[in-house]
Amino acid sequence: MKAFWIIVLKEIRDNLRDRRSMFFTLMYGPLLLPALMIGPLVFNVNKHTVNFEQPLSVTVAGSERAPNLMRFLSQHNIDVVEADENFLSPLREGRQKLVLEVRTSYGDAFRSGEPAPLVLHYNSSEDGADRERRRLRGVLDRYDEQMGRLRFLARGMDPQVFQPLQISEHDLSREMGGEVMVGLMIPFLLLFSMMMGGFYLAVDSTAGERERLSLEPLLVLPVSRVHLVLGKFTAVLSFVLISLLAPLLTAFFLFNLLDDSGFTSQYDFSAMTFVTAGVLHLPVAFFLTAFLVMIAAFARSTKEAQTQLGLAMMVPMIPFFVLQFMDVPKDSLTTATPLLGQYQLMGSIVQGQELAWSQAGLSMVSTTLVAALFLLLTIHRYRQESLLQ
Amino acid sequence: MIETEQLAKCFKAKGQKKSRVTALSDVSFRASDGEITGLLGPNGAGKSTSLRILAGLIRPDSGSARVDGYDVLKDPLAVRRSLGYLPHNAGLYPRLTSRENLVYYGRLCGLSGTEAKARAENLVELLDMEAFADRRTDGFSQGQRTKVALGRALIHRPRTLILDEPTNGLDVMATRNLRAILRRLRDEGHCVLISSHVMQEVARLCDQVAIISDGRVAMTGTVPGILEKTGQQDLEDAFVVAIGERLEVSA
Repeated sequence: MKAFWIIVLKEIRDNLRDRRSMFFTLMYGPLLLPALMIGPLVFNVNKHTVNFEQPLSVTVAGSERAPNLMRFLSQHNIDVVEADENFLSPLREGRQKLVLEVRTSYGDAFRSGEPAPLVLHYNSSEDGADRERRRLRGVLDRYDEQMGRLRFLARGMDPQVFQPLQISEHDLSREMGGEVMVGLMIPFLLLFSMMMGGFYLAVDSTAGERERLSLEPLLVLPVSRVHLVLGKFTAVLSFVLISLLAPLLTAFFLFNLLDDSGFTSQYDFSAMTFVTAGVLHLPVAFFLTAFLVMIAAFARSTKEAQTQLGLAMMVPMIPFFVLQFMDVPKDSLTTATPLLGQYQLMGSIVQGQELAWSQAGLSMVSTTLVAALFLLLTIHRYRQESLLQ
Repeated sequence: MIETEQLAKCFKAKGQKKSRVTALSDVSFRASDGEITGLLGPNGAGKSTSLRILAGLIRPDSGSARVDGYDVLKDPLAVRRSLGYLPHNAGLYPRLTSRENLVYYGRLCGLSGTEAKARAENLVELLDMEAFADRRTDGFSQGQRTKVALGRALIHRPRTLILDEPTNGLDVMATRNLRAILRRLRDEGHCVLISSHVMQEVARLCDQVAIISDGRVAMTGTVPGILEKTGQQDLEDAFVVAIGERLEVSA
């Protein structure tokens, strides 16, 4: 058992000195990948989310002509700022995003029951102008509707007469929409990060060691092959675990930068989701480590190992694409399939569904068993004479 | 002390199914303590295969081999503990320093951390490695690499030392140094077995020679003994005769 720890520590130290490998373990998976995958999502959602809670200040020209409307605006969290005489030039120059103009004829038209003119000046090339316009427009439409109802009532008519239809939407599709895509993003991110985090050490400590011809003197030492393989496996595993935990933290942080909106209300981005994701993916860390080490141990050279792993890395990605385009039933067979099961479970957890622990257990046990099989095959490989050829 | 009896080994031929290549057909020799024994043979004669069997890396199809009385098949771990092995073209860990390479192997051989470090310090001195002891081995010259690899083979003070073509790629001075080190080890009572295809090397260094050709040991004895048996003046001619070739073609 002593030999086991000596091998683990040596492989870890060796890998810590490999800058390229460390970049993938500490930067690529934990920071770069989440930033590239989740960053644009957060940016776009936040840009287009209209937040009715946050006070918005709007520049209004001629606010004194519509005191009632101004009260309505401030009740709806919009602060009115009086516009300058010449309010169009700051708009054109981009110093302002939006100006509401109450036309001089507003008061007269309103009193005589004619459409009262309001103009929304805005500069759509400015970031966020559209969002402010949509929010102000929403409040104005509500005022419009309220005034309309009051006018009908004043004339003794039921406003519902002008609402012949009541339309509501109810989608029963089980097809994967955008929502599920987000659910699949977390496992995809974790898988990719773990593969990249363990890739170099797995190749370097097996195929690389053979190629550098340092394997032969190692095999001559009085160390059992089981300890040898387990030592290398554990060293790779330690980096794979970093590549599992770090992006979970980053993803938690990034998803919680999302503004509250209709988008976020469909998901559960609480800490619990990410803790569950971590637990569910622990066996996947074993699985991927054993997978990487096994492929690299059977390869004849570093180059061959890299080529084969490059292709093999597609395999864990398959469920991600399959689940997007196909309606895969969720039964015990698919749950027990390593990786596919995790994708399915994470998809429902992210959507706020209760996790069935029997399913999670099934997925974790089957993934661990396959990992153990890979490990046994690797030990078998290290007992073959042909390992040295 | 090394003894082999009628070792035989076949490998599967690459690329062709079912066809087999005979690497060893009958290898018997002994190498005693306090002597340097040379396994002399052309490329492909079976030198490395024989040494790998002794190191427990491959199993013979038949025959037996013992190192210091331990059978390589029945007691491989005991064999490995008493054996220092320098493979052909031994590789080092490029991101570890010379000293770290030595200590790693020492610890895997069962030395404690302090023992391994003290022993590595000894070897750095013995093999004259001070200049590059604390440098990472990436970019080392062949001579430097061989020294580290030799130090690695000696780290656990093995009684028996097996070196596969140790002077390969070494320059004159490095070769002379290596010879001096091997003689010193012999004089300390170690059993040293080297393989080589270089006649002068063997003639200068070895007390005993086993000539191996086509997977069988054709002749064994001291250098003068072999010259006498073959009736030749020169080891190279003796070698040609011993492996059953005719002398006319040689230059």
